Amino acid sequence: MQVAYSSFLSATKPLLIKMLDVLSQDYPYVSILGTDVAGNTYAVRSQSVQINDAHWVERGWVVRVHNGEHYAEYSFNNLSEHSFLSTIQLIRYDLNHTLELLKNSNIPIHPYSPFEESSMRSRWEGEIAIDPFSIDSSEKIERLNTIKQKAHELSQSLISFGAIFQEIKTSKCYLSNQKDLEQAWIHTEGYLIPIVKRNGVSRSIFKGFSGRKGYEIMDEMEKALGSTLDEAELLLDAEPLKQGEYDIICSPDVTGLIAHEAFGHGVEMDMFVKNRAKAQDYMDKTIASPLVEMHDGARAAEHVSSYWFDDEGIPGQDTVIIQKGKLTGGITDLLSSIRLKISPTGNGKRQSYAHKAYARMTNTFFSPGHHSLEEMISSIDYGILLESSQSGMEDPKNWGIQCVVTYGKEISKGQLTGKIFSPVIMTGYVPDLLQSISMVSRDFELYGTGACGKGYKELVKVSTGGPYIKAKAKLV
Amino acid sequence: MIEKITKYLQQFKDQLSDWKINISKTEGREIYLIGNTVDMARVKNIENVRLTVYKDFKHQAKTCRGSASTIIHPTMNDSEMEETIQKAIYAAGFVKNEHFPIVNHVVCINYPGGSSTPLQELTEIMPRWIQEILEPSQEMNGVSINSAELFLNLKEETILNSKGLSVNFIQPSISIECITQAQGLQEEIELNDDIRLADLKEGILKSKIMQLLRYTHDRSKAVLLPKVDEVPVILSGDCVGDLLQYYLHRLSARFIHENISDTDIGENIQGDQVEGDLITLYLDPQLPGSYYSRPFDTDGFPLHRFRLIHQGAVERYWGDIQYSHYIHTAPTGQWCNISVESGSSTLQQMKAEPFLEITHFSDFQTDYITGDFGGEIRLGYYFDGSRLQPVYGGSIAGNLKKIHHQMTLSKEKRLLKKYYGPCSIKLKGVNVAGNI
Repeated sequence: MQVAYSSFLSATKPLLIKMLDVLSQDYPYVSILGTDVAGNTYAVRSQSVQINDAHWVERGWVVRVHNGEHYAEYSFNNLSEHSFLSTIQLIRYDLNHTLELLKNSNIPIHPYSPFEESSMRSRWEGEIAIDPFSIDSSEKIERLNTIKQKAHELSQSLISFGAIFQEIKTSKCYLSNQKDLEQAWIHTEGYLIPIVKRNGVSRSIFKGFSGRKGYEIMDEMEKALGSTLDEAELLLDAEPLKQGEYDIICSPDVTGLIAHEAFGHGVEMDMFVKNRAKAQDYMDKTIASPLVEMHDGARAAEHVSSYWFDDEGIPGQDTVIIQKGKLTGGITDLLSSIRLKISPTGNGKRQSYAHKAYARMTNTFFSPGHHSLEEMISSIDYGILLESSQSGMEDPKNWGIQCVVTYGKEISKGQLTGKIFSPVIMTGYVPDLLQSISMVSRDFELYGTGACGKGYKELVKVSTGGPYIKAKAKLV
Repeated sequence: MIEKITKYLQQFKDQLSDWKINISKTEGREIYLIGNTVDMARVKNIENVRLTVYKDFKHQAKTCRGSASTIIHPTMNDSEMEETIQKAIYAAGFVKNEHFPIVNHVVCINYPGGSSTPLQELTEIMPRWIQEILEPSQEMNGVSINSAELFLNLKEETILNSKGLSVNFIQPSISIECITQAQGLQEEIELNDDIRLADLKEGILKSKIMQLLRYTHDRSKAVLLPKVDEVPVILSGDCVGDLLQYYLHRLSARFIHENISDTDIGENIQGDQVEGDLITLYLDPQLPGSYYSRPFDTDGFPLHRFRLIHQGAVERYWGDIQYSHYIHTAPTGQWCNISVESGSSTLQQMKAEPFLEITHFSDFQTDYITGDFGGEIRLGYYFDGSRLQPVYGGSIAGNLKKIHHQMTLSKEKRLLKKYYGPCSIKLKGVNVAGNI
């Protein structure tokens, strides 16, 4: 079924067009992004149940103006026929006053030329199999409850368990003198979080499910319950890993973590503007094994960060970041593209209407290759198969890596031994890791749970993933 | 809008038992600097309203209290608001939680600890804040500001409930994300800091920027961490507060109720054979000068200081009104600021023998369930017994549960975001991955 565009954004469109007209009398360029995001989180834990609005729920607008010299923005979430004129006055006063205050204090402001937009009108509504909003909340709670009860039946070591389902419907509009764009889509997320304990040792694992999917994601959660509990119990026997350099195989989610943290943040081109990214010195140069191809783009894949246009009204695209080991491109927001004199790539994303747009990743992944996982394992004399990514941190300036992985499985003489190490931290230098990639599997999976920050804030939805890859890395 | 919401709540009073409304109004100014030039200015004027409805019912002879929360947008029309509230009430009927009370009749308007600094005043001194970011690098050679983001917010919070609760407080907040740079031994390097201020006094931001620039200078002279064997690790900086939050979580009413923690009252949380310092820890929601301090939790429960651990022995749990009720303990309110008493060693004594001190990580992580901690080193100082060398690269990993019997806390104290206490912790038995 097709996802219906927000009736609220449709109803308020005439007021926004009026606002655009009025503000255009003062400013050579005006655009308005409107958002209406609805959603719920259903969480059933061993001892409690919660129903809350989803983290991403928002409804508001951000006006961007160019006053002939500079860009400035005003975020707000209250507007009516009654308050229209006072809102216009506030926008004018606050933006002009802030810019004047800076000028009068002799603080330099970067002059921008206004962005030349081409005319574009369209509405895009995503497809979904089972609309989660059409399912009664009682059924969702009941189904999560069943998963929880089954988990307690299956595992003797289980001390606490959480099953969480989240449904999010996003509608956005972008209006300017040249553009009239509308889009809507639904995505869902699910989480299984067992905590197990034996002989005083506790371990937890987190299994996520996500995608531009509907209520059917519950089926995936149910199917994965047994294997998730097995993984959690395996961790109880885990040992710390002896630090050193290892032959490694990364599972698709760990591959995604590397694509995202180790390299993706480094090709966000607002970092080029700030001279914070080493990647800008390596354009068209070889930085990875010839087996490596990496993409990012809202239209590069169908997942949680797939959209028709970004938060600056630029159509999403499929950007090839690395091709045959060579760095071929970066991803950019609108203002960075103006400064760098390049075309925007549709990667201008905001945490919400109340936040600034930055160059952000969308769906970021390594492309699949030609090997099988079995071939990769059998090629290793001693190494580690890394599974279940936890977290990572970017270092675009110096290309350091920090990826935390929940566990690693020991490989000895071409076979998994059954021994588990946990947790595992991968560190090192990005090009060393990427150039060491010697095998890439045919598999391909994307993951889109959680959120990605820029520095320590500005959370947005992204997906990451790829195939299994074989490489060499420093582990501790 | 509140009148409208309460009108519907009154209309549906037979279908619900209690309600709570959290209103937050934020007016803000944001400045984005690249070098010493403003790239963009932003203004923010938003109001968020969250309604929580509570519904009591019987299930298998037990009294349950279901709840559901929902956002009420200021732009909702009457029928949309009515439908949203009805849906929340309906959903709450499927949440079969054990019954719990809500906060009863606290009225506090214009909390005296809050600030009345008007946004206009905050805005007018915005150029001063920018100068405090930019000036220090003019006083230091070889290090500079790469970029910075300045957020000035005035946030007004109001919490109301059906039991007569009515509290209101206004808090100004300043946050700055600052990136510094310098020419390193081989290439340009950078450091960053996420500075949060509640104290608007002149000069405080400047001193924090100056400190970051000094660290940046050290990072520019740093070499890759060599392979080091069994050297004690001294943690300094924000990671100290992050690591000690482990103890707070072990005593959380939610962790206890959900069986995630089995820590008992009276238990020696560091074990029975402690060779290092015994920890004394307070839940301290109103740390003076902390950006994160606040007078009430999100339920409207008044927040006060409580001692949770005394000399290693657990004295009490802490938590919100719901989970505290479940574990039959008096609530403290739900807010994660902590303070910790001084330890036995001065920094000078801690550093009398070889050590690796780490001040900056890429991303320091602590697992509050297992006690695992670690991260990649952005800046540290290695002392081999004769020479102190700034270092970077490599990483550490450890488990607090296995080594906290040998933990040494510094006598010197410092305020670090949600934490006030020893500025450094010395740990033995941490796995250090240096470079060969």
